[in-house]
Amino acid sequence: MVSDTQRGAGPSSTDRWYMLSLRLHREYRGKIEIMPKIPIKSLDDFAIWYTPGVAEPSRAIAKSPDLSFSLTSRWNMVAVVTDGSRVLGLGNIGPEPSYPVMEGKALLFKYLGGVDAIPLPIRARDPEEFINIVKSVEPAFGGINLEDIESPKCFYILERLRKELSIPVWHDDQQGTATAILAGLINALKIVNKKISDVSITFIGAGASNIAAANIVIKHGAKPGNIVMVDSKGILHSERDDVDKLMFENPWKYDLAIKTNAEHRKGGIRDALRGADVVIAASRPGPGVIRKEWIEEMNKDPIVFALANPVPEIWPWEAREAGARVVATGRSDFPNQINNSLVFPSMFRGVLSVGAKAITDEMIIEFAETLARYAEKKGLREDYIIPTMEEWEVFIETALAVGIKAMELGINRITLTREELLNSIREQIAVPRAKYEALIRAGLIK
Amino acid sequence: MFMEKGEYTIRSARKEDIEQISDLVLRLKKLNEEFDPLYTVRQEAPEVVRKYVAESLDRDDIILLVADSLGKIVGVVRVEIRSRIFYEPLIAGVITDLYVLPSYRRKGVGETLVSSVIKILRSRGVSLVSAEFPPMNKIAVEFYTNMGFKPLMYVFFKEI
Repeated sequence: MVSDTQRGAGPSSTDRWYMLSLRLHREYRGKIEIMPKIPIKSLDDFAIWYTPGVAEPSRAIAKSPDLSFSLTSRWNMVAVVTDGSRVLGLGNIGPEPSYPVMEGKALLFKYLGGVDAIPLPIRARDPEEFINIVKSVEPAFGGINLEDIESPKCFYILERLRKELSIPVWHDDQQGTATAILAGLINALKIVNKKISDVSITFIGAGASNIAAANIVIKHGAKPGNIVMVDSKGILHSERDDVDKLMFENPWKYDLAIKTNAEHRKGGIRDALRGADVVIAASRPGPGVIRKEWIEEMNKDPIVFALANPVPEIWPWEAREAGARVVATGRSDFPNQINNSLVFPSMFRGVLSVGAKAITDEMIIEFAETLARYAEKKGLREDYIIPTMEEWEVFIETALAVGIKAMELGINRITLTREELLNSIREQIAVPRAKYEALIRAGLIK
Repeated sequence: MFMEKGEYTIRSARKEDIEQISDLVLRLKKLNEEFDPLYTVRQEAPEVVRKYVAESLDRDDIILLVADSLGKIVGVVRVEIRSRIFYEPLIAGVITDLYVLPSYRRKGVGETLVSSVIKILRSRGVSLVSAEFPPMNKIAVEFYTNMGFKPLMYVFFKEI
C-alpha cells in the first residue's frame, strides 16, 4: 500500500504517485475481477452450477429466503456504494470519478479481510433516491459499505438504511474512523491514567468522523457535558445563533450542540482547548490549525489526536514539545496511526462470517475494545497505542470478537462455535491470499 | 395559575421579563429566515420585537406565558384572541409565537406552554385554538400534529 506523503517530501513526491497511479490504472484497466471458486472439470459441470441443477437451490431459497446466505455468494458480498458527493479531498466529483476509489476500497476489503466487495457508484444525488436504490439491491449483498458521501446527507442515509435493511450497513467515514479513534483513546487514557468518565474532550471539526466519534465516545462513558465541539464557526453551544438552523439542516450536529458543552463555553479552538484532557481534531490540513501554545494551556498530560490528512493540524513533534503525552495522527509514517483500514476489513469479516443482520453500536465498542486490548497485550507505550497494519493477527482477533458479539446479541443468521468461527475467519482471510500469491507465482498476475 | 413541571415554572409574563422574552422571540423570527427570503428579518427587528412584547403585556386579547427556570426565561408562548365573524365558534386563540431555548428542548416545555395557554383560553370561554408558522417548519408541523391540531387554512404569498 501507498503511504501518505513522506515527512519533508514536497509535492513533487505526491505528483510522482499521481503519475504512477494513472499509468498503472491504465495498464491494468482497474484492479479487481471476479473469479469462480468451484472446480469446473468439464462442461457437464454447468448442469450443476447453472441450469438445470441450479433450479433446486433457487426453489430452496424461495421457501426460505435466508438460505441465500448459505447457498450463494451473497454472504460474503459487500457493496461499496457512493454518490461521489465527497470523494477524498476532491469534493463532489460524481459517481464515475469515484470508481477508482471504490475499487481501491474493494481491493483492501479482499486483501485484508477476504471480503468480496463490489464497487457501486450510483447516480443518485437525492437521499431518498439513494436510499431506495440501496434498498433494492439488498438481496444481492451480505452488507453495505457506504463511502464518500457528503455530510450531513451521510448521517441521514446511514440512519435510514441501518433501520430499514436487515444486513449490516456501515459508513466508513463515520464509523470506521470513530472506531479507530475510540480504540486509540481507550489506550491513551490508560497511559495517562485517566478515566473516560472524568475527562474533558475537545473535538475540532464537526464533520462525519468527529460527529460519529463524539457519539461513540459518549456511548462508551464520556460525559456529554464534558465534551466541547468546535466547527468552522467556533465552539458549538446550545445558544449559538445558528443552532435553530442546525435543527433543520443537520439534526446530528444540533443534537450534540444541545447535549455537549455544559458550561456554555464560547470562542474558538484556543478557548476550546484550555484545560481539556483530550483533543480529537479532524478538521483541515495543518500545520498551524492547532498551535503549540494552545496545547500548553491544556490540562496535565494532554492527549492529542491530530487526524487531518495529508498534514495533521499540528506536527506531532510540536505537540510533544508543547507537553502532549500521547500524540496520534492519520499518517502511516508517524507513530499511532488512527486508520480505518484497521477496522472495516475485519469488522465486515466478522459480521459476514455469522451472517449478521446489523452492526450495532455495542459491536463497534466491542471492536474498539478488542483493538485496544491487542495493543495493550503487546505493551502500551506513548508511541504505541494502536496496532499497525502489519500486525495480521489483529484482523483475526477483531473479526472474531465482533462475530461473537453479533451472536450474543442474537442478530446472526449463522451460528458457529468460537472455534468454528475462528477457523472460518482464518480460512476466509488466508485462502484468498494464498490463491492470489499462487497466481503471482504462476506469472498470471504480474 | 402557577404550575410546576420538573425544573421550570409556567407563569404569566411580567414587565421585567421583556428583555429576555424579546431575545427568544427574535430567535424565533430568525429561525424563520431559514425557510424563505420573504422571512428575511429586518434590521430594526430587535426594537420592533421589544415593542411587540411590551405591548402584548398590556393587551387583554393577548396571553403571554413564559417557562421560568430559576429566573431564566427558557420558553415563551404568545396567543392572540381573534374573532372569526363568519364561523362558529366565533372566537379563536391564535398562537403567534412559541419558542423554547435549545438546551431546554425535549423536556416537554413547549407542550406544557401550549397546554397551559389552552387552559387559560378555556377559562375565558374560548373553544378553538390555532397556530401560525411557516409550512416548511416540519418540526412545528409534527409538534402541533402530535398535540391534535390539524391544518384548516392555507395562506399563499406571491411577490407582485
